[in-house]
Amino acid sequence: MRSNFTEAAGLEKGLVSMEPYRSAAYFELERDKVFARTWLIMGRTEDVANVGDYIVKEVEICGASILITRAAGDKIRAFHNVCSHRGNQVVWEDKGSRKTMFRCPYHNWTYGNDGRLLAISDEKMFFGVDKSKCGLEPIQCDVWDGWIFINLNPDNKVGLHDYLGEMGVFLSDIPYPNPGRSIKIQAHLKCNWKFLIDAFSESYHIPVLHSKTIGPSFSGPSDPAGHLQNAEFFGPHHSISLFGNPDYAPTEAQLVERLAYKGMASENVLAANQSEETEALRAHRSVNPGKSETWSMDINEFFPNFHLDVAGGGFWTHEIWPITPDYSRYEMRFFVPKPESVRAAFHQEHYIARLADVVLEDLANVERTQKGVASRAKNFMILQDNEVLIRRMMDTLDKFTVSDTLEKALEECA
Amino acid sequence: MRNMATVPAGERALPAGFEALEEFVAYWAVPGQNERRYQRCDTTMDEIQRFYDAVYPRADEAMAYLDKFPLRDMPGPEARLMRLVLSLAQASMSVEIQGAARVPNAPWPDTVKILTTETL
Ligand code: FES
Ligand SMILES: [Fe+2]
Repeated sequence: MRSNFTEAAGLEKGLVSMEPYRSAAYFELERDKVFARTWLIMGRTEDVANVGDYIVKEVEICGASILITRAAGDKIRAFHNVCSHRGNQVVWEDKGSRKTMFRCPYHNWTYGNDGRLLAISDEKMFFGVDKSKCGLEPIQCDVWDGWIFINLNPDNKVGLHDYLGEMGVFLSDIPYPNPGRSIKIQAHLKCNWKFLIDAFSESYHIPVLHSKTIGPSFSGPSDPAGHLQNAEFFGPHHSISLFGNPDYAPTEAQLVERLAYKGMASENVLAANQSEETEALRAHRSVNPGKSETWSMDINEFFPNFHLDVAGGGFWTHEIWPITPDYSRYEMRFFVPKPESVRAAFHQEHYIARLADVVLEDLANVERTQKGVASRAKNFMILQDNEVLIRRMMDTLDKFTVSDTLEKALEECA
Repeated sequence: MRNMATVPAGERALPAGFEALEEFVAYWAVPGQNERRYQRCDTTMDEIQRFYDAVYPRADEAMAYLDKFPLRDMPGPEARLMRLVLSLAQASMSVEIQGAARVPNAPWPDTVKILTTETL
């Protein structure tokens, strides 16, 4: 087991500036040097499981609406959701299926789900339009291990697998349970996006802020602070493992929790599945990579805004999307089995209800932190070793914002 | 607008034997996790406690009874009983975990939405 993670990450131990959290100029750099040129998560391949399925995702900071399709030949593609005629959005709903053609609702220009412009209504009144040149604008799109990513820079030369680098190798081939079914918790917060990143990047706060909801299972008599069990660093990405209290059990008075978990042999309170369904997951080399006896979950942070968290009982993701310097969209997806009985539905209702409360504890908190930092009463954060990911994220962002190209930024982070 | 469960004319609110829980149907037997969470957050601790005290003692029995029906195609009274039981999971957050109707020091209403692919 590693200790002194900050040193292992090659980071200084001094104060960290709060300015990037409240600076409009820094936000612009994040847009141009980070979101407009790194690979961004769009979802799972199961989100467009069949030919004719599609989803629409927003990247607000870049003002982009993105259409992801699975066309004949099973190729997953991404396009700007913008009509060649006069620029309206072609697809207005956020997902759908069995559609191989999209008709722009403004004047009926029709596109194939491979992006080609198929038909122009009342074409004879136009002045010779070359339809072959007027398809939807394609966006670089690639898949790693079932996860769909895009890159908004049309001139980008760093492939997805090179961008993920060692992190992609480290986490490859995880046997995800229920990758095709998820429940999403979505919220919009009045805060800079990095407060949300930070909120889900350290365990120091868990016994305090979440003292009732998950504090008792993420800390315990043997480790009241719930220290990190491991940390791995890969270019701009990283992975940490959290402590789990091996002795956690609901109290006598937690009657409904006992009823919900009755007949369920599960790993911990964050388990969406029965233990036997996650055996292969737990056996993966990079799940609990430090092979700690007192482990609860791993936080795998893909730069800039995607967390892929794996626990003994299943996995979930966080996506954090900046909108303005002090407004953000937060989405958490829990991948859960399809309940086949009322008892299974009851367990899932309890599981998601607790997570919604946990997340709300974090979400109410980020808006308070935003206010505090924006007040300029303080100018620096004082970070401890278990907050290494916050320090490292800031260091990485600083490197990206001063690098001319993605290649250079990645070199700086190597 | 407030969600409410309605009972079609001529239908019983709940299956025979569960009449004592009928007073909770309108408020708590609503379809959808997001809606049930909303109901829990939008009421008082006293109301949540009253619902919890009435439904918990019958929950195990209700789930055993409901096992005989298809989860996604229950008759009206059974579907409402199932939703009452599912609401108990929501209510238990207040009673067994927070000791308060909602997460303390969090705003209400909030922007949190639970988005599911199916509505039970
Ligand atoms: S803007 Fe799409 S058809 Fe006119
Ligand atoms: Fe938290």
